Amino acid sequence: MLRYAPPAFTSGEALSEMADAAAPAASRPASRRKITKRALSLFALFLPAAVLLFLFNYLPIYGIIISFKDFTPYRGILGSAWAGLEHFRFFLSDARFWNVVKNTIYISLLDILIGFPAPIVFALLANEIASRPFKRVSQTISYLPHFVSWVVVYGLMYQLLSPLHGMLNKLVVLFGADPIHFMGRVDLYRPMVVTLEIWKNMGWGAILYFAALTTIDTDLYEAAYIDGTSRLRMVFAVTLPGLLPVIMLLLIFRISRLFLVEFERIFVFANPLNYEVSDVLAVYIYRLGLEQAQYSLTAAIGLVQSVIGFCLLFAAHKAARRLTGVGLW
Amino acid sequence: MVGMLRYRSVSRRVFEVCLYLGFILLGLCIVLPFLHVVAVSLSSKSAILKNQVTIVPVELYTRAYDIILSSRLFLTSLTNTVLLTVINTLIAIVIAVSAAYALANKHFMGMRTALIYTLIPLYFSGGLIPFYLIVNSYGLNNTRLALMLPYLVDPFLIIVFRNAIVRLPQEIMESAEVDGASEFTILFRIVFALIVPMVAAFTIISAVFYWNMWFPVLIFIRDKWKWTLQYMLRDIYTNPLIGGGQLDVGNIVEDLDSILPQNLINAAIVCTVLPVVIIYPFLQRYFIHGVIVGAVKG
Repeated sequence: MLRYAPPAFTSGEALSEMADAAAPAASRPASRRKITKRALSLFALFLPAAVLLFLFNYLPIYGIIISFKDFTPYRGILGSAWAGLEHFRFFLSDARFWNVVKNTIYISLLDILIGFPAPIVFALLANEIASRPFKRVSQTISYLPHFVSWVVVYGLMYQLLSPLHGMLNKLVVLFGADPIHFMGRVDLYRPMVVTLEIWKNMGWGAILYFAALTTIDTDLYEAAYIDGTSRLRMVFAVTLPGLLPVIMLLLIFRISRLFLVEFERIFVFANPLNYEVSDVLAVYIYRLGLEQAQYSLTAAIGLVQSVIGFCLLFAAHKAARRLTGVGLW
Repeated sequence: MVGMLRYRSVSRRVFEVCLYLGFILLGLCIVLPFLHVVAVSLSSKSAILKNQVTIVPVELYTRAYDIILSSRLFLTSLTNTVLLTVINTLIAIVIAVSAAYALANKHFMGMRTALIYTLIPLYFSGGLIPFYLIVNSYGLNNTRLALMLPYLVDPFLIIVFRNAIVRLPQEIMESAEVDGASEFTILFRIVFALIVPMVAAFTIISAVFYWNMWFPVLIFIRDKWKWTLQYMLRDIYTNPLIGGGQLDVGNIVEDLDSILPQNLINAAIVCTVLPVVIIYPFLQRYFIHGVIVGAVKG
């Protein structure tokens, strides 16, 4: 029955064997009974997490086999007939799929080019603020949008950008232009979601940089000050080099998520008018898979996405380890 | 500390003025959309139609809130959301801290295996479709459990807590061990107390996460009495309000002349966001710093 055990399990076993071999012999002979009792209660503490991970993270990995089958709910995962690589062949030769890949990379690259530097600039500028209360309040306000859902952001924008009663269009009209129907224009979709990502997460994303800023040796600033270095040069000579390791680390991991454009942001702003540009992998899988019940096909797409994602993440780890000397593991 | 180094040149002064103005502008960009929505939700029909409302309510009109707060659908969604948030947050934090403590303990046989077992899901997932089918195969489709069980364990959270526990002074736990305290006692009496700030921060972050959750509702729930607030809100936008029909308010026909869909929609947003806006400032700056820095360094 378990003949088709998914590769993930076997490799997991291999990994754990390796780990066991590598782990130091933990059990000491003395008071063996007591240690066993402790080990048991520790196991009990780990058990809930282990069971839930197994049910909702590991078994879905096993469920990937449906991408090599013609899954029908009636026959179930094991009972469905094998389809080989048919689904992979299908989507790889499907023009719509490649458009979706293009959209995903397009938005992802915009996020990296414009969205990634935003929190860095924000942190650097906030660092120049001398007034503590002002800085504190600015930061607290900047976190706010991070804590609301994309549905709420959509709601706020629906009102703000409304061509009839929206505040922003009032401003547009004030400058003598015609009201802009932001949500209905295909060409404004990408700028809108990229801008809103910055609007929502810039302040929160800057936290890491604020944390890194506090680790920069203040002696460096004082020395530079005594040498008569200008404030601007200090940013490039002291602050940025101090932030560089964090920036590089985050950039590497950001790039490794190239194919993972967040579902919710794209989905709430998507409508039939902008499907041409708003269909990214996550949304495409949802619409094709769950709305049109193409389970096997979309599972196959998901598998390719997962494998590429894993490879990129693995490469990112290697790169990070080489760069900083410390991996994240 | 950097602020103490005084620069008094003219260009610096100009820069500082621009800096403060820039940050005020940025703050307005964030706050104004919220205020606009509040203002519209509280304004009269004629003021909205005449496009007079910006950030202050014009001709104050609160009927929309009466309707929202007496809508059965809204109140049910609110109850669902509150229950989901409280239960999920509590269970998730307890599970994560327990697992983290086990993973940080040298008496845990096979600790490295367990650690790898916890880490793998961070790197590889089955993807949406297999996940959906597996959860369905447990019979969870269209049940509230589908919004809870699959979302209780976050490997990242476990690792973050584990790194915090590993860095605690081990002598405290060892001496408790010598005194014969069980692992449960050590965990809940000692370790828990030592990482309270971190637990508090992640409790708030998790609570906000569960409060904002709507994707699982989208894929698993069809019965509208099991919706969460966020999903209800989304439904209002995808199926525009026709006289507030789908809010299931007893009788608002009498109001249709005086109320606009914008009143109702924006009042619904305000009610959805308000708890978050009240809670989030508690994540004060250094509070977050400590947590995030700890997470990163670990």
